[in-house]
Amino acid sequence: MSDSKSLNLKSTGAVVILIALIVLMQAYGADIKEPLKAMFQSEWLNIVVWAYIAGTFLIHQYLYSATELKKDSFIYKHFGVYADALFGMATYGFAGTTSLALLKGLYLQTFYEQEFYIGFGTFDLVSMFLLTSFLLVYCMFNTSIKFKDILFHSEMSKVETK
Amino acid sequence: MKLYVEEKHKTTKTGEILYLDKVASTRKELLRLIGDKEFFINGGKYYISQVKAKKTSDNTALGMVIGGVLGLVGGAAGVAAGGAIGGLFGKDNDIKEEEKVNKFNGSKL
Repeated sequence: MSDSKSLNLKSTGAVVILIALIVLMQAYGADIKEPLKAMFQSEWLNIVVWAYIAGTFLIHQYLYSATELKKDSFIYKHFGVYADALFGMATYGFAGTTSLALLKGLYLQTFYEQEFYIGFGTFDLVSMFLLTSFLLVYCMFNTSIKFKDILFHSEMSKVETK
Repeated sequence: MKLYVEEKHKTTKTGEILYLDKVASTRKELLRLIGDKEFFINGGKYYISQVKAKKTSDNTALGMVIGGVLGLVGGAAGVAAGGAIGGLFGKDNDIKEEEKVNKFNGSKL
C-alpha cells in the first residue's frame, strides 16, 4: 500500500520564514530596536496603513462586487454593497491605526523608558499588548487576503442566456 | 470561492477552466440568478448542473507570515506568537471557504 505525501510548499515556506525571523530577532534583536522605534515615530506610518487599507478595499470592491456572496450584515442589507465596503474600510483603518498607536506607546515605554501609560500595572500592559497585537494581525490579515485577490485577479467569463 | 465550468469545444473538453462572473451559495441560487438551467459562455452551451465551485487560495501560510512580521515588535517570542495567531486566522478562513465549496458542490437543482 503506497502512501504518497507531497510537501505543501506554501506552508513549508511560511514556517521557514518564521524560523528565519525568530533567529534574526534572537541574533540581532538589539540592532532592530532602533529601526522599529523610527518606524513607530514616523509620520508616514498612519498614512501608509490608511493608504494600504483604503486602496485595497476600494480596488477589491471594484473588481469583485459582482462575484461576492451576499452577506447577512445589517449595513449590506439596508444600505447596499458600497456602504458595506466603506464601513469595512473605515473599521479596518481605524482599528489598524489605533492598535499601532497603542503598540507604539507600549514599545517606547518598555524599551525606551518613556512614559505613556501612567498607573497601568504589568498585567494591564501585557493584556493591552496581547489585545492590540491580535487586532493588528486581524486587520492586516483580512486586508492582505483582499490584496492577494487583487494581485491574482483572473478574468471572469460572461454568462449569457437566450 | 469561485464558480467554474470546464470549457468545451463542441462536445470535447479542452481542459481549460472558465470562471463565471456570478457567484451563488447553491446551484438553486445560481439558477435564480441566471434565470435558466442552460447558459452560454463564448458561444458554448453549458448547464447549471455542470458548474462546480473551487477554493481560490490557501490563507494559512499567508496568515503565518503576516503574523510573524507584525510580531517583530515583540522580539523572537512575538514572532512565534504572531505566526501562530496569523496561522489560526488563516486556517479558520480556509475551513470556512472549504465549507462554502462543499455546500455548492453538494447542492442539487
